[in-house]
Amino acid sequence: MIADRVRSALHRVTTLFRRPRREAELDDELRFHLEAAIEEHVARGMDPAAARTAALREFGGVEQVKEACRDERGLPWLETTARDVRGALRGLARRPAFATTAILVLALGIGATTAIFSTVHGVLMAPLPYPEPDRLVALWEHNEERGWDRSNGSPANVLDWRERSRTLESVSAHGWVHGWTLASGGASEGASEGVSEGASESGSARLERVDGAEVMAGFFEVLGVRMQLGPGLAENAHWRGEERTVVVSDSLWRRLLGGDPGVVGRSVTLDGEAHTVVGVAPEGFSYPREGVDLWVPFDWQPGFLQATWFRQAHFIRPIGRLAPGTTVEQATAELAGIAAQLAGSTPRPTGATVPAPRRSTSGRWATCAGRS
Amino acid sequence: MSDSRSDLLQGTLDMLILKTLALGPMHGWGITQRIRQLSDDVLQVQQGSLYPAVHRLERRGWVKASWGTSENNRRAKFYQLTVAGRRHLDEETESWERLSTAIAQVLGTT
Repeated sequence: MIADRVRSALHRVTTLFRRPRREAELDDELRFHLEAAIEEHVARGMDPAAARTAALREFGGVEQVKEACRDERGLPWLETTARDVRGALRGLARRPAFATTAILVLALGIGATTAIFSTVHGVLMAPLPYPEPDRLVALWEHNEERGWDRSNGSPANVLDWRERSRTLESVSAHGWVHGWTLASGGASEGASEGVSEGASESGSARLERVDGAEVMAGFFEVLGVRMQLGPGLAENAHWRGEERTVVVSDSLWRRLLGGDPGVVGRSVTLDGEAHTVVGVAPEGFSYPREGVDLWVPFDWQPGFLQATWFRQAHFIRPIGRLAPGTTVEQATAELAGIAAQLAGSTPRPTGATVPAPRRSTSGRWATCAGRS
Repeated sequence: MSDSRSDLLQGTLDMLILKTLALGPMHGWGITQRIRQLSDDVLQVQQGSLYPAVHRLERRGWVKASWGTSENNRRAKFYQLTVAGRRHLDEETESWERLSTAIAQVLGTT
């Protein structure tokens, strides 16, 4: 029974493809029948003309018979629909002004909807391109007395969270993106194609304006990003050390450092200061936005811990990664606890952070915060 | 109501056509003639029913069609029974006999 139906259905579909031949065959078949009927009448003594009339009358409507046969073969609803569509297209062709208007309106509507949806998808719905993105959180501070909601962290606060938090397995932060002047000292043979904007020759080095941000140590680890080349930033790189280091983006490496595979250990001059390249980020990585080419560690000194501004100036953006098995709520509560502990320390911290588990439109983060 | 009746008629017609073809391949005209002969002129299949029926049989795989030459050297489409068709014919014949016996029985009682 089922094989029957399958065969039947298949037959219907394949018939669709051989219509002209089938039509011709149907024609021939019915004509043969008609002529055979006429011959029989003539054999019985009718004259040809009368025989033909009689035969036609007996046959019934030829067209109807053909229709019935067609219905048996193909997919009648499909053929009817196809015929209707063709008719509709012909009608549209007859009224070009109307057709054009309709098409433009549709195109506009579809285009706008698609654009909006693509953006929303990219910004809000697509998962972040980092490992286990649902464990990533953005950390905020909240100052009730001043009415600041979701403000940046201060260096001392972030350092304390980093040290004391157990619900957050790693904490780091970055400063705002700004421009740096890069002089790629030394040979850059096989350098970038074409001339970059804003470049000028100065002696043997080329000067470029690039965007970068200061970061705390552990920044790439929080995001789960592994260096393409080199070891990356050192532990505690944000404390002033012997040398200044920098991680460059893949794009900058190719563009301005010639894609040199031995770039790790090379020195570049940023804003007049020498920095050693310690890592190249993977291709396509850029944070916190497109076009960021450098990540330079903060240059803090131990003496800052006594400075008021270190505790009270809120200018860095902290990020963290939740420890396995913890929730945003737990982290929030813990940070609130840490904040309470710190309330008695000197200098006195300002601000207290509060949970804000919403997605931020710019950063696409799930947010959490703690008290500080 | 009319649906089941036309189904019954359709099924019966199919059976008659298949039986006719069991006696040998034939074209549409030949089928109508043969059915008329065998039934002593009682059953006269209308062309309007025959051709859709025979096309349906072909779609369901019970008959196979091929073009050939008729007795008077004309090009005609011949149908012949397939193995599946023969099987279907046997089934239908059996249920028809059961049905007609039952009807006869009911009508026979006074």
